[in-house]
Amino acid sequence: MGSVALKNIRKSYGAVEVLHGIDLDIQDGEFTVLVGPSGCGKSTLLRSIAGLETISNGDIAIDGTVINSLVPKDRDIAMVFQNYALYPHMSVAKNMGFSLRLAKEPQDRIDSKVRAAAEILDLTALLDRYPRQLSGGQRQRVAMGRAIVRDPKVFLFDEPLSNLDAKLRVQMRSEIKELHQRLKTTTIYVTHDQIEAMTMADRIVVMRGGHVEQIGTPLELYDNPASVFVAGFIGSPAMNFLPARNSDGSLQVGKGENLGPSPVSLRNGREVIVGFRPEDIRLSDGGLPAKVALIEPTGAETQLTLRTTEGNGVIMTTRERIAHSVGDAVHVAVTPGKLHCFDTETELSLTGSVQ
Amino acid sequence: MLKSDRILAYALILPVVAAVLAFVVGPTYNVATLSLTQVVMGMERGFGTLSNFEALAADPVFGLVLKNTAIWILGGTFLCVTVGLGVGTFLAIDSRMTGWLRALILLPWVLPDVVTAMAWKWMLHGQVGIIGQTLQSWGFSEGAISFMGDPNLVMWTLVVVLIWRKMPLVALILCAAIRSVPDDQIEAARMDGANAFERFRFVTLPNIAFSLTAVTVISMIWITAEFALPWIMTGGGPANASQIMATYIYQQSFEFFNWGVASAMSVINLVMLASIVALYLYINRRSWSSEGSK
Repeated sequence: MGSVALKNIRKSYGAVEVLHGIDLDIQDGEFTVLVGPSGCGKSTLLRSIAGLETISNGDIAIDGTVINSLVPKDRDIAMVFQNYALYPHMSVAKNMGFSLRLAKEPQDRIDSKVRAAAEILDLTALLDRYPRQLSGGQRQRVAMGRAIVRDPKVFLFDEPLSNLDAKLRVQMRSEIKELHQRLKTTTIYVTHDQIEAMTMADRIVVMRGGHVEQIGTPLELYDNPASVFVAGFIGSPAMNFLPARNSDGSLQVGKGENLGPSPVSLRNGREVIVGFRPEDIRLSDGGLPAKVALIEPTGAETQLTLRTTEGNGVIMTTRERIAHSVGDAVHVAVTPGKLHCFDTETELSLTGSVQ
Repeated sequence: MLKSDRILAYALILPVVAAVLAFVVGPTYNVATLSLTQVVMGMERGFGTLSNFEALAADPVFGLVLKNTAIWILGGTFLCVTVGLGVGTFLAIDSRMTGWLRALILLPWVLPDVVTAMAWKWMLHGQVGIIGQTLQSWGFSEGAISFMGDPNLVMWTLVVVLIWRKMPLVALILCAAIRSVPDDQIEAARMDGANAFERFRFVTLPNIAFSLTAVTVISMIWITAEFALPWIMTGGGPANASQIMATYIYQQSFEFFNWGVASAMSVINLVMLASIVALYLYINRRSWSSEGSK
């Protein structure tokens, strides 16, 4: 059991406020990912939940009990650090059993818990090794083992994969996800990598500048981003944005090229930001004229960078083979129903279905 | 390699080799032979005798010197490192005050040995010393305290002054070591439920173990080599109660001209120092090799 409720969390360093009132409810067993660019406050929020930072205002509750004033060890939370934070002078088994040893548990219980955790993480053969003798991925697993043996209510992960190389990162990503499906422990996971967020999360919390920008399942965020920021942050390559104008219910860019019907009803002549994902456009006979600026084949897909007559860059991905070459004049059309509309001033989505 | 290159190479290292021969190897050889030579009234009287060592063994003062030297080196090193560790831990705390203190604490180091010794000698003077008078006026003592006149007190008084002088650098080195302990390890220990003492004992101490051994051995060497402080403050007195190896060697050679006996003691001193250095090198090498791939 471990539901987490955050109410109006504020945190200041002197006069600088870094968290501006965060509200968040996390269900028991949920895998929540906090994602955002560096400096958005996601790590600070995680460390506040852990008790490593004191909050200036608000309430943190686990299972309905406010834990603001509790020291980290009394919060029943385990944390996995970015640099693993293994104790270099202790063997793997000692590292994993350290919290139990501090809790004065009998040695045979420590041993059996450590062995159980080691089995889950495939670390049994490494129990007598020292951290310096392990690879990055193994160290990461030991760090997770240290969290598992405590059987806490909540797991916290602070960018745990950012020190690993790309291949290992993908592997550890699925290992962490599998572990969560097996243990069903409430997990809060911080990352700046939107792919990690998309692939692992039950729910994603997108943060920016100390605010929560949007909360939702990965596909909700992808299909219905609440702002230009979320739309641009989630998805790779990022969503294309163009300045557009409403003309009798259809959105026009540039010198009046029609992109398609507006997803929302707008005042005639209203200026908006229109967004569409790279996979939602295709080459066609009519539509937006552009020049091919770059062709990047990745095998399964080909990514085209196009430049409109106004000089705006548009990225397009396609699974079809491209016969064009750089400099060719082409026309692109947006798949019907795939246009997103944002306010020019607030950059918030104008699409009604979004929260 | 060309022949001219080889000559050039030898020519280039010649000054250093010559200096080492003249100032290290030569005197060492000299002292070693002298320790096996009987000297009477400054005159050499026959080589190839252990009589100097025998004389030392029979000398009742030498036993006292060994005991005092043990207090000086072992007690001094132990207190220097433990007090230094305590002060270093305090200085490692982040605050404006510790920032200033970190700079100020080195003051004892910038004073010359002689100045330190003279200042403390006056402050600890039995009749007019400010420390004794203050303690007396606060009611800690009935009469005057003779810090350097009391054979039971004098050695420890010297050790206290020694700590005052040598501890700051030890504290600074350990402070730097403590500050370099990764924060996330400390935080992980907090998450694991370690209180402040447990974090120090199980995380900080093992992380600074290398600096701690190094600084222990280095202080031991410093303290063994320290001469001016005890010599100026007490001259080995009263009645040899604060006579240590360094001062006794000096006294035997330059006051009594017992070159042979003094040399014998120097040899013993050298062997002791060499074994400390060997220990240091051994620990050093072991910890480097165990670092391995990090």
